[in-house]
Amino acid sequence: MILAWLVLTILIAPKIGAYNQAFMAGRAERDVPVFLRLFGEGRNIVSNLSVMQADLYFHGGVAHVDCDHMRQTAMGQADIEDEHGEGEKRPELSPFNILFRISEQTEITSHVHLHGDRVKEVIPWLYYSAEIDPHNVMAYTLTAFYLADRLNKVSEGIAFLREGLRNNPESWQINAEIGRIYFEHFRNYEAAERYLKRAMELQRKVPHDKFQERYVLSFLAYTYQDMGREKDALPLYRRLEKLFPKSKVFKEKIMELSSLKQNLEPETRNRTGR
Amino acid sequence: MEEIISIKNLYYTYISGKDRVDALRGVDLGITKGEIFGFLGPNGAGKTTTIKLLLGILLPQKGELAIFGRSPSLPAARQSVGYMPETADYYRYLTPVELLNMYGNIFGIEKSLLGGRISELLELVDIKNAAGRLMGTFSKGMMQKVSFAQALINDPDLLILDEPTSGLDPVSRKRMREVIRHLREKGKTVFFSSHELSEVELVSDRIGILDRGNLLAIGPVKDLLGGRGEGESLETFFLKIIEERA
Amino acid sequence: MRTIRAIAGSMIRELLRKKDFYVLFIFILVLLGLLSSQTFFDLEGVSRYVKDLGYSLLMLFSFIIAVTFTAKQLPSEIEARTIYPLLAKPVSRHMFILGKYFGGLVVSVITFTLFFAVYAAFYLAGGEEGSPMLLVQGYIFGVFFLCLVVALVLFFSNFLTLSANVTLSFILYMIINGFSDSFRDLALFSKGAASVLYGAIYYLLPHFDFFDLRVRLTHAWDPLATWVIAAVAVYTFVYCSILLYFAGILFGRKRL
Repeated sequence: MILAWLVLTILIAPKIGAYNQAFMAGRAERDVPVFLRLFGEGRNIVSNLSVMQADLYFHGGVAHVDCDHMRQTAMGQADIEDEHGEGEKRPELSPFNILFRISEQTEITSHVHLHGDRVKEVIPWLYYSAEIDPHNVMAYTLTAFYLADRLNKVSEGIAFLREGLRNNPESWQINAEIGRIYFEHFRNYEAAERYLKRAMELQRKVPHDKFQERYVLSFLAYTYQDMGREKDALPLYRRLEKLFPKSKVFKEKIMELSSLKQNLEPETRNRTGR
Repeated sequence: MEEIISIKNLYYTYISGKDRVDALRGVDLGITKGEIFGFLGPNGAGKTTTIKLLLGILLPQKGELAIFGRSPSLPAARQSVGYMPETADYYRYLTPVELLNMYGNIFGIEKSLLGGRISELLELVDIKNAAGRLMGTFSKGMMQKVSFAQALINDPDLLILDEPTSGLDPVSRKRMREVIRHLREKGKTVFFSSHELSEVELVSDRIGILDRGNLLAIGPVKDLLGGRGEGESLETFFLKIIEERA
Repeated sequence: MRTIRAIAGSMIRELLRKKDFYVLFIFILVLLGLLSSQTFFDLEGVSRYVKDLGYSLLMLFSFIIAVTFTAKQLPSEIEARTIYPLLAKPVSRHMFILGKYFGGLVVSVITFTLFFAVYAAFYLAGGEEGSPMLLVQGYIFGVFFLCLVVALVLFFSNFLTLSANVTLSFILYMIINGFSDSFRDLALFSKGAASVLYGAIYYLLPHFDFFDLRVRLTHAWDPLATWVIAAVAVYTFVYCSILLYFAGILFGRKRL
């Protein structure tokens, strides 16, 4: 009886889970194939493994870095072309230690990053990651990053992010990424502002770190600045400076905008007759 | 007369579960060329153990054992031996022709001769019409016929048969008896075990009765029955000797 | 030699008459075909994931055929009692083991070769330029891998049941492919008795990981140096010889 109940629960659970998620949270549940639903929450694991596989591909199939690095590179927080440290150095092997020497040769220890057009090789894993778990936000943002920034497929990147947004309307990351692409690739400041402001609102509701906050605030600040709305950009730079007091970039931006504001203010007063 | 099988003071013991089984307790037996020897005994008497020892599948723990004057554990000693097991579910994914080809190749029979030999044997055991069929589809009787054919593939000088008629219809039994007699005419030696006492009586030159590892009687059927009075059948004799021992 | 050929020949017939092989072959063909025909955001020449999955499936399916086919040889011969008429012929037990080994190996290599041909076609037709030399090395290493797998499974079948043999072989395959590097690093970075212990474990393990050229083939790394191929060949030969020697000894002592 217990076994029958367990089997029944395992079979039904994914469907109930999906239904409840869609109904209770008001989320759109994507049409996930039945066999994937049978995985239940295991789907998330498979989806995350798929993202990790994309990371492996980015590093030529060699596992030396964790996903954080990939996220950082994707978010522009690390130099994409750089090479990571090799870690602890192995002791010298004697010539008689034949099995270790064979292993050293058959295992690939070099370290590379995919360059140029070859970055496309990571896309299938990210695509399937999102297919398997439509709530895997990172799969959408990374795919869009590679499509838009590395493979010159900006529209496809935006379209994929919009799909991600339909499945995850509360995701600040997806909103921020759409905003960034509108800002960087289309110079569509109105759209960028809309998405980045939405991202900022959503981010406030969930736990996040200062780096994540910096990501949204900085793009919104740049957007305002490029729109000529220095007045709106300045408070954002001040918030950024508070988050990163040692950052020279934000200090310089504040000084630049403050002086611009002072220069602009008498001119504006003269024009309005005040 | 040349002795084909020579067994002297043979012992064999094995462990079955927690029990120690004395399968053979000092068996002495000699079988000469051209003889048909019937090996009788109730279940667990030690017949199969003796056959396995004769084939080199088991090694004697005490005593001496030889076929053609050599230890059966030597593969070369088995070059002129044919063996038909009591039951064998031959490779179900092979046809009888392929099975006989495989065994013929093991014996090193020349290709030019092997085809003809296989055809002859399939006709002999009356299975030629099923020569190309996979053995997975065969009945027990058909499998027995194939088993008999494979035992003859190398035209053996010594044929060891373990319950050869089990699963065969009366016509096939008669045919097998005829083949065994024909082999004797050709000077071949046949050693066979059976529960079918009438079969043994019909074809054997000599019989041996084994019970719990001891050879209780040995000799020509007529001699053994003669000592027990007129009109006694082999079955009555067999039962009496076993009961006396018990 | 003729005995080994005869025993191996019957095993090849078994392979050809069973459905498992055809099912796996069609599966690998269809799956690689489907994967190759898939496009992502109109990107052209995305091929590494096809090569990766293709190689993984190729090795896994060859492993499955090699293990399941070899593992059942001894138990099914004993269960069907075909072992008795076979051993009653001029066949020594060592010959029997060698016949089963080469039969299992030939069957596995035939399977692997056909799977590999499909994989090679997809590999060479893939977007990136593949290295034919690396492909040849992949094939050679695949054959070495099967030499080791078949010897190991045959050795196990002397004292394990069919299901236990298959299970243990799969567990070993997973553990060695997943954790062999960890054992090596433990042996290299630890000191004293621990280093000796880990080193001994490392040397005893059958190194399936040596034969795995998946990453190298998928990500177009350089082919291996000739001395590495020679060293792996010697390793395979030595390991298989030891396993077969002990398999022969154990089978020789087995009461049938």
